[in-house]
Amino acid sequence: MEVDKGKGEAEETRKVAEADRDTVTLKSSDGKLFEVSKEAAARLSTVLAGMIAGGSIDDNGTDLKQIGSEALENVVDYCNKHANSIPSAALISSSISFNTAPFKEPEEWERKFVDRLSHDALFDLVEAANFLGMERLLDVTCHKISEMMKGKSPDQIREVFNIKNDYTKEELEEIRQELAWAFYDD
Amino acid sequence: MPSLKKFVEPDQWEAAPELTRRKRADAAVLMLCAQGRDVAILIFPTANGDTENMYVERLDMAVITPLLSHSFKAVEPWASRICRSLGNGLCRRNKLPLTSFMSLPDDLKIAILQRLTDGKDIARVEGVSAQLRHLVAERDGELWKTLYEEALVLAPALALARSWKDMYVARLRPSWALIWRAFHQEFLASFSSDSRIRCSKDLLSSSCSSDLTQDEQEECTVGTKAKRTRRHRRQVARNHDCMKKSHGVGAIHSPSSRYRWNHR
Repeated sequence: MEVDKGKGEAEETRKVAEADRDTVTLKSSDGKLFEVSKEAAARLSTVLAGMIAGGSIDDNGTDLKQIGSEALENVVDYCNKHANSIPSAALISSSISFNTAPFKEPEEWERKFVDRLSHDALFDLVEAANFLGMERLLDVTCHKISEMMKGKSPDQIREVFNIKNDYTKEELEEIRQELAWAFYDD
Repeated sequence: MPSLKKFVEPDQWEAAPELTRRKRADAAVLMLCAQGRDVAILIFPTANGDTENMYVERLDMAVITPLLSHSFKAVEPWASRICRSLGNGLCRRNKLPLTSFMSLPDDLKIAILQRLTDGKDIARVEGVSAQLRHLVAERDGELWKTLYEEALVLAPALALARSWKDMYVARLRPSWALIWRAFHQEFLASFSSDSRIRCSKDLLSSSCSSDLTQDEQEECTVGTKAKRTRRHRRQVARNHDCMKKSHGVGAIHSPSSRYRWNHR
C-alpha cells in the first residue's frame, strides 16, 4: 500500500511521529493512506478526537469515505502546518469560543494555505473540514470563499461559482428594483 | 450494487418502489440494523420505477460512528450529513462534479454568507438565484440581525419592520426602505411558506391591547430562527427598549397577538 504524505511535510510528520510515536492513518475515499499525528488530529478535529477516544481508529487506515485523496492531503497538510505554527493552548481556547466569538481573521500562513488551492479543491476542503468537525479550518476556508464573493455583482457571482440563474425575466426585474440599494453605489 | 441484494429479503426488495411512492420519498430504508459492519441499506428507485436499475447505498459502521459521536452540538444536523454522503455517492457514480457553492449543505452556505460584512454583498447574493434568495430569507435572523445591530448607530429605527433585513435596510437608507417595502409586500406573498417572519398586521392589531404590563410589552416581534426561547426574546427586547428610549420609536415593540393566548 502506498503511504502518501503531505507535500514537503514528510519530514515534519516523521518528527512528530518520533516524538510521541503515535500517529493515526487515514484512508481517503479512493484508498490512499495518510498519516497524521494523533495529538494534532484530536486537537483539530472533533470527529477524529471522538473516534480516537471511542477506539474506532483502524491501524490499517481509518476509512473516511466522504473525503477524496486531494482534500485529505490538504487536511493532513493543514494539521502538520498548524502543529508547527500555533501553540496548542491558544488554539483550544479559540475552538471552544467559536460559536460565541466573532470570526477570527485567518493568520498569514493560513491565508497562503487556502490561496494556493484551486476552486474545486477549496470546496472539497470546506466539506472535509465540516465532515471532520475542524472548526478552525472551516473558519479559514469559509472566510476565503466569502472573500471571493465580496463586491461582485450577481452576474459575476454566478460566473465565479457556476450557479444557474433560475429567475424568470419578470422576477429578475422585480428583484433588481427591490435590491436597487445594493446594486448602485451612493 | 446487485451484491447487496443478498442481504435483503426478496419481498422487501420488491416493496421498495412502493414505499417510496407512498411516502413521496426519494429513498427507502430497507434495513436498519447491524449486520457485520453494515448498519443500513438504503435504496433509490429510478424515476421510471424499474427495479433493475435501483441505486442501493450501504451505510458502513465506519461512516455512521463518527457522525453519531458528533454529539457535541445538539443541533448538529448529522442526519443531513448522511444524506450528503449518499448524494456524493450518486454524483461519483454519475461522474458529476462533487462540490460547488450550491451543492454545499445550507449550514455551510450560511457560514460563508455570515462572513460577508456588507449587507450589499448579501443582497447581491440574493439576486443570484431564487434558491439562494429563499435561503437568505429563511435565515434572516442569522444573517441580517448581526448587520442590523452593527448598523444600529447609523440611523433611527423603522416602525413597520418585518424582518431583520427590513430593519437593516431601513437603517442603511431610509428612503430606499419605502420603495423596498412596497415591493416586498407583493413578494412576501410568494414566499407563503415563510411563516417564521411574523406579519406586521399581527403587530398592529395587537398594539392597542392595554391590559399587559410594561414589562410584557417589551417583547420583540422579529423572530430569530436560532434563538427562539423566551429568555432570548426577552434579551433582544430589552435592547430594543433602550433604543426606544433614545429614539422615541414605538411600533415595533408592541406585543404579539399570540402573547395573551400563550400566557393565560
